[in-house]
Amino acid sequence: MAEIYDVIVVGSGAAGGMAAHALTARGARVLVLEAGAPNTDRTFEQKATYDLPFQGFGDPTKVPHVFQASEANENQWVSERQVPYSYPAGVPYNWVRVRMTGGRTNYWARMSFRLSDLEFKGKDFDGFGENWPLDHAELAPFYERAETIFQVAGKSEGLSQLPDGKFVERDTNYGPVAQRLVDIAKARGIPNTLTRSALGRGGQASSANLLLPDALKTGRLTLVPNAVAREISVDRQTGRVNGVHFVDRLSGRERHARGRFVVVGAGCLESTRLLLNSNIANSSDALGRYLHDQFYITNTIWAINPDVRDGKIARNTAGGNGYMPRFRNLQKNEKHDFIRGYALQWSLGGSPGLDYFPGYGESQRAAMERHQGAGFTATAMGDVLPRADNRVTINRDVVDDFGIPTLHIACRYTDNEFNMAADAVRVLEELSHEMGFEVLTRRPEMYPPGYSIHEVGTCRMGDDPKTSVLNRWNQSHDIPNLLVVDGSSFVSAGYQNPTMTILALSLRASEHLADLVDKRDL
Amino acid sequence: MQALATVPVATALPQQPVPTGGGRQGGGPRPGGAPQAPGEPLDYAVPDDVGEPVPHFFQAAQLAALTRLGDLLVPAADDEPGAVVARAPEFLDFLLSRSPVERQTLYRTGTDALNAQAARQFGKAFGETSAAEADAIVEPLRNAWSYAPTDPFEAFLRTAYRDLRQATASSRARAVATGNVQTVRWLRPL
Ligand SMILES: Cc1cc2nc3c(=O)[nH]c(=O)nc-3n(C[C@H](O)[C@H](O)[C@H](O)COP(=O)(O)OP(=O)(O)OC[C@H]3O[C@@H](n4cnc5c(N)ncnc54)[C@H](O)[C@@H]3O)c2cc1C
Repeated sequence: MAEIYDVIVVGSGAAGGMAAHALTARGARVLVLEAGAPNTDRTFEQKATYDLPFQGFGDPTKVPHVFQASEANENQWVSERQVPYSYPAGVPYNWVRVRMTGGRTNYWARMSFRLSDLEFKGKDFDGFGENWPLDHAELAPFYERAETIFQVAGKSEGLSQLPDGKFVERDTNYGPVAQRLVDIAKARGIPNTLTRSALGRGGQASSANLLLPDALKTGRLTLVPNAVAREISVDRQTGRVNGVHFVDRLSGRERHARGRFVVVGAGCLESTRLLLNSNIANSSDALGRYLHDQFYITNTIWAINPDVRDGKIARNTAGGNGYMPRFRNLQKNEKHDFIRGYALQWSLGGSPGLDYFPGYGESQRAAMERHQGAGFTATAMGDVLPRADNRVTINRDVVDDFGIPTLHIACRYTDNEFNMAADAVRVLEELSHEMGFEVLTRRPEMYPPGYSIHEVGTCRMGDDPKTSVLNRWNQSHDIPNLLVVDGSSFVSAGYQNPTMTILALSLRASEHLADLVDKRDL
Repeated sequence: MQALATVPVATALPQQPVPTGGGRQGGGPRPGGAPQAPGEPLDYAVPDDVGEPVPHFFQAAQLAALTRLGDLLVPAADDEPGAVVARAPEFLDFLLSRSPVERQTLYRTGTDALNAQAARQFGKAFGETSAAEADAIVEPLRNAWSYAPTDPFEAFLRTAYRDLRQATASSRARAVATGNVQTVRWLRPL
């Protein structure tokens, strides 16, 4: 008879990895079920592009919604043929998934930010949505420990809208052009800082090298790859969860593992799908709703520094990059046609590609070459409002390769996001003009929702069991021995990348759970 | 289990094929012993060298238009093959045969529009147009860049131009002619 574990954790990414780390450190016996392969199974081969079946374009049927994919890396994403999903006609959603031990932390860009009380207490500020059931001060100690494990590098700035963390301190070293941009922005009330980024260890900052190894060293973690959780089982007598049905990814065989607690950390939408398929934890009807993320617009602008183009200044003095954290609606009385705000990650010294120049042939090529290194561009990353109608449901008519019913994702952006994007373009144009740059292209159009890979909110926490799925400790209001510890628990996303907040929440929830395990509570 | 373990293996195992289960119990030859060592390496040719690509997606007139477009936008230069020698239009025919319907429609209507415009303006197929005539038809490429052109013909031209460039740059013909092989670090299936 297989062991009854103290805790079964579903997923081994940021959320599940941190849960395993925290729980085993506190003495719990933990089983991690991970749908993907061991991450050591990642092997690469140097190939001529023309030898790839699609000559580098990629198989158009495998991951058509993963704009980040190429044929070189298309096997790293979850195939949409294997695990399909649907959306209403004409309203695409880009669901970007990785199944592998360590999850998406094997591939993330490591931008590491905290949320501020503008997000945690957003409703107090502008009346929209709900407040989180916790605030920055309460989460700060957990942020600090996550930042220490992930070795977050950054510059302390004392900005209220982007709390400082426990950083490997870095200093800015702007070149002359970048400094001028920073000064011009500052005069308009737009702050600048360096992007904050997880250094990790040995060039890697993933759950697989920073969280799981320590958990395994305790001798209390059992880590099972290729185990696709299908359904959480419930004890009919007590109403509590008592285990997880899972399917072997390679053979298709099903098993059932037993545990006293179940912690779900399969990534926002997979966690939600698992709960919906298990028919549990939804007395609030909030499960699956409030799907949101950040809208991302890469190359919101391309502007040209004529001094570089005409050779008046050297290319190598014209570069630089930085991050402008949210600067809109920091005061209650600001008048904009949107609430909340966005960040701009900018770079100077880049080269706009051929497509940005009109025409074709020699003249176009020559225009591109003249502008090498003269570009100014930015990515706008905007706050998306959590709305009840943006939701996922189960599509029972379509099952995946493992026989599991699939998700239907209905999510659209609204005027608040569109107006915000237009504002971002306007601000970048104004900054460009003041810099003496020539605006080459502007782009207010965003990618489909999901593109930022920061989906959150479908299993949100709150103090009121009627309007939220989880309590302030990430426990289900309905079933106290069930926790969900990933981004699905967010109440609002803010404009910041979510992973540090996921890590901090998972750590906090897991230590609270460890107290319950210790006390044999429940 | 205990008893079996003490019996010498040779007598414990019957000298006949053990059923493998799963219904695969038929007779027939079975693989014997260790796999054969690979022999002397052989010289292999590749399909590109021995056969012409066979289009499945475009109609002949559409492919002819795309080929003319490739010649116009991605011409040969010095000893660098252009789109036509690189067989980029034929590659795109293959790619499109597997692509989502929106993409297919963009290309079908786009190549039809090339022919329709050439017929209207010059009384011939786009494939027969001179450089000056073809240049007049691809005029929308001179518009300022936009993320999502509202005119479907402009959207087609921009997409086709990008695809033709990429398919040419990544072609085997280009690599062979220039000695410059584009490579990628390819992740094996997991
Ligand atoms: C290219 C890229 C760049 C990114 N850049 C950033 C960035 O700069 N900053 C930032 O903050 N975030 C970034 N992210 C997002 C970040 O990776 C995620 O926020 C984070 O990994 C989420 O952690 P998670 O544990 O919730 O989900 P994941 O990391 O996705 O882990 C979930 C795990 O659960 C497993 N799983 C799923 N379903 C099941 C099931 N049914 N049974 C068992 N296991 C299951 C999956 O296989 C996976 O391993 C990026 C992501 C990508 C892909």
